Amino acid sequence: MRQGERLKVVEGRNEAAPLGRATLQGWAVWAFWGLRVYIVVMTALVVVGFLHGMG
Amino acid sequence: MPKWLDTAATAWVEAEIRARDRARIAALKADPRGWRRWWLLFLLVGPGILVMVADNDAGGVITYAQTGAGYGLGFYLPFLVLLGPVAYIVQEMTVRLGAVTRRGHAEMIWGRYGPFWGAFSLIDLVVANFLTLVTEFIGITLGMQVLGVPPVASALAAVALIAAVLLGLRYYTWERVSLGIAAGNLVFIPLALMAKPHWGAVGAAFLHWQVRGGFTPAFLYVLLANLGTTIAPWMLFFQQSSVVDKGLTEREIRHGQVDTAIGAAVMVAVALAIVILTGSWLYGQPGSGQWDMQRILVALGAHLGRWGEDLFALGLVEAGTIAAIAISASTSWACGEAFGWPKSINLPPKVAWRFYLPGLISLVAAALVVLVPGMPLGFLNLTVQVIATIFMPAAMLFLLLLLNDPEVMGEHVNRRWQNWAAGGIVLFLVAMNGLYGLSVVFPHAFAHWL
Repeated sequence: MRQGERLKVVEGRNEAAPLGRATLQGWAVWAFWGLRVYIVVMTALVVVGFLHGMG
Repeated sequence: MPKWLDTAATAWVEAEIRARDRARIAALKADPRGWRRWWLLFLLVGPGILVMVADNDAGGVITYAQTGAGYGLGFYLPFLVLLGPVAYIVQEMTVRLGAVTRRGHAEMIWGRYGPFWGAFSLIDLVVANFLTLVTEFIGITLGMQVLGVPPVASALAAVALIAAVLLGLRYYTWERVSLGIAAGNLVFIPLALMAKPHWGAVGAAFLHWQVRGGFTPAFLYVLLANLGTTIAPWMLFFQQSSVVDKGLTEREIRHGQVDTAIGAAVMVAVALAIVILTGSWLYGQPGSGQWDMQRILVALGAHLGRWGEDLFALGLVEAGTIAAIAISASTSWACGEAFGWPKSINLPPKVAWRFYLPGLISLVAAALVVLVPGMPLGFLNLTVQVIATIFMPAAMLFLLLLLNDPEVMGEHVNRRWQNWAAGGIVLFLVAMNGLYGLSVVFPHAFAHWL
């Protein structure tokens, strides 16, 4: 038996579990919309800040 | 060779190399008594210390030095102490996420929330990492210039060293060599002690928390820069990928937590040492608030002597080097995870060249940018910290969603206090960023507030 296989016997699962797409519900949907708005607003503000040369 | 066979062979090579490291852990766990318990801890720590020390990067050292010179000890000493637990709370979540899912952060976002947010996070990370790498090379070339080495030579030497460490070593050796380089970050602590700071003033800073000069846009800019240098998106991606590549499992989450706590303590101690050093001796000198790193080094040299200036410069070089090692690895891991390439430092470059390529390209490009004459490097340094802070809430949101997903985390989902603490951090970041934005648009409303 190879080392990797031996270790699997000692330690159990050592590979990643299957990963499926999440279904967004409730507060998570609002959080994603908030994130979109936040990114747009902050990017605009930083651009304004840099154009003003940081006073 | 057919592609499926190639992929299977790569996965087998990766599993076998990691199994060798894991076999040592398993043997120690079988009888964890006396010194073996400590040896086990020594073998299992790494990602947490590495991410926290690498976070005290060249940009961070420059930011802390400028903060001390510009604002003294008053506000920032207690603020930096508070950032220690903040960094721990954020990074600890990546340990659990990595150990439970055996997947990196980029892979989790891509797989769980789809290609749009996956691509958004990846592009954000790769761009921010590149800009951060530029700041690392600023620090490396600047520090080496003080030691008499021309920028071209120091930039090329740094690229060669970092590429050799990434390509030539397997994960465990890579981690140990990186930890050895990271130990050089501690140089700022004896430097601060030898400068004989006014300990009374240091103590008073904790008792009277105040902002000298008011709550101005410039102050908020520096505040964001300090936040950005303490918690940054690349840290989430780096530590999670590192935990996965090291092969940590659910049973080693406790060790990962200890690892992260040690790292946070070291990070805060080094940051405090730098602010104490420049805040004690440079603050209050005419124009010190606008000094760049060269001017700060000269002023430190005038106070400490040539050895002090050289030692600080050496610390700057080390800070840039260790961060460049971590950040280039983080870029490679994230690209490998997002595109499904073989993604382990355990794999030889010949087998996993696609994995190593993004990290190497960003490394070489950053070194070239620094060597271009007339580049506004000081401005770029603060800019990268601000950009990182602005995108941090997005990265934190994904982390919080994943850590509250029972399908992903099982029994290791966030506890209530962890959600409150992490949620508070996100709100604080959003509030500070919003305040900064408002202070830019309405600067007079914020002058002399506080």
